This record gives sequence, C-alpha cells and structure tokens, in this order.
Amino acid sequence: MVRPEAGILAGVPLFRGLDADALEVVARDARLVRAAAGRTFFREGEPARFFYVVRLGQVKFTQISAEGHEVIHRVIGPGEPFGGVAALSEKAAYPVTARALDPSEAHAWDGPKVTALMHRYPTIAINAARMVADRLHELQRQHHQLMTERVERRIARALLRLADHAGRRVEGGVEIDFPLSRQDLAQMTGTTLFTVSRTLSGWQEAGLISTARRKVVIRQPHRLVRIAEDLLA
Amino acid sequence: MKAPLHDQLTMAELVARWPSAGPVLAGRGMACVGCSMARFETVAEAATAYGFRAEELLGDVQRATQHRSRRSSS
Repeated sequence: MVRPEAGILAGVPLFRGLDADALEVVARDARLVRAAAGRTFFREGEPARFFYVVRLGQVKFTQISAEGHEVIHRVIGPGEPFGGVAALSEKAAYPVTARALDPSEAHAWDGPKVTALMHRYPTIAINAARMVADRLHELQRQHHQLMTERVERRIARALLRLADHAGRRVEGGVEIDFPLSRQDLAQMTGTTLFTVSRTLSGWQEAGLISTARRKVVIRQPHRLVRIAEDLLA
Repeated sequence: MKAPLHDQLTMAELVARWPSAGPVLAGRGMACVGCSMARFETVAEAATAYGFRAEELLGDVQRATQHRSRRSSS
C-alpha cells in the first residue's frame, strides 16, 4: 500500500493543523484509486462516496450547465483535494464530473472513514465546519446579488411595458405619458417603495432615466432593455 | 438638407418596411424585433447602442432584401 507523503496531506485544507503522527494515521486510512487518461473518478449526480487527494496526474472538473453545455470548472494536480462533499455530507451527490486528463492516481477515503478521523482528530471536523461556513457565506452573497438583479429586471420590464402603452418621444428620450409614482411602481412589481426608490435613484444617477413632475423619461432605452431582458450585448 | 435615413427611420419602421431586416438584426444579436422601444429608437440610435455602424447595418438590410427578391423572382 502506497503511503502518501505527509507533506502532500498537510497542504489539504481539511487536514490543516494536524501533526505528523495524525497525518500518518490519516495517510494509513487512504486507499489508492487509479484512472486512465479520459476515465472518470466519478460523474456528476452520482452518490458522493469518496473524498480524494490527487497523488499523480491532472484531474478536470466539468458540469452540465442549465443550457445543456459541458462547462469546464477547473483542473487540479498533485496535493489538491476533490470530492469534498463526500467528507462533509452523508447523502450528497457529486456536483461535477471528475475526469483524468492524463494517467492519474488519487488517495481516497470513504465517508465513514472521514467521520471516524473527525472523531479521532476534532481539528478535521473544525476545518470542515469552517470550509462549509465560508462556502455558505459566499453563496448567500451570490444569492443576494441574484435577488437584487431579479427585482431590478421586474422594475425595468414594468417601465418598458408602460412606455410601450403610453410612451411618446420627447427631447432626450421616451416619456411615459402619465404621472407614475414610486408607490404605483412598487405595487405593479410586487416590491416595496424602498426598493423602487433605491432602484430608480440609482438609474437616475446613472443617466438611464429621469423623473421630473412624476413623469418618467427613459433616457437610455437600450440600457434599460438590457436590464429588463438580461441581454449580453 | 434632409437627414440621413438612419436618423429618420425608427427600428420598428425598418422592420415593417423591410422584413428582411428581422434576420439581419437577430444575426447581429440585436433584440429590436418586438422590443417596446423599437418604435422610438432610430436606426442610428439603436446601432450606436449595440456598437454597430448604422450605414453597415442598413447595407446588410439592403443586401438581404435584394437577395430575397432575387430568389423569389427566379
């Protein structure tokens, strides 16, 4: 049985802070898994059984996007961990496919082994908790951004619908030809007055719209359409 | 002096009078067909917004229209 160099394991975030004896115990519990070039260690959606650390070669991670394309996430090499969801959760599935780019080898621990190691060396469990907390924090930040974008899109779409119905060309842009209050917009879009005010103020400052005498003028139609339709161009 | 075509014509008028414009715009990634702002934005304004030159855009529409009429008359 090949023993991974303790040095490699010391660099793995899950095993950070373990002394040489502990790392030797962790190393002893690993099994060696090989994958020929082009073969997978695991596929997206499969039950997450093993946590791996690359010993040799390069491993590529891919995922099928919402549009059905295979997206390459990253490529890793010796000393780097993957399949961590198996170490952190009992009933998770792998979120990506791990494929060897060249003949590769990885050390692997199954979930129960990692749990036993956590009991023996609480540092491992603390490391895992911190990694999950960081990940959660990042996801919350992304989620908040996404929700903000969704609300802005709804408000932009409402303004464009109103302009389609009651718009007229004026100096400097397209005017929605009836008085429109922020409260009206809030009700139309199922958001709060606060959110509408903040959004419209931001757009006004950026020059997309102007609001004078309760009439909204769309000054840069394309920029508003880009928000409403989530355009790339 | 009369204003150039791309300053007079709105995007909606362009598509209405030259139906071949639809595929040309879509091919350039422009979302003008069906856009609520199409009847307000001139060809010049829309082209600028998308980073294209209005003359080139109109040229493409002209070529697409000629190609279409040649095909239908053969």
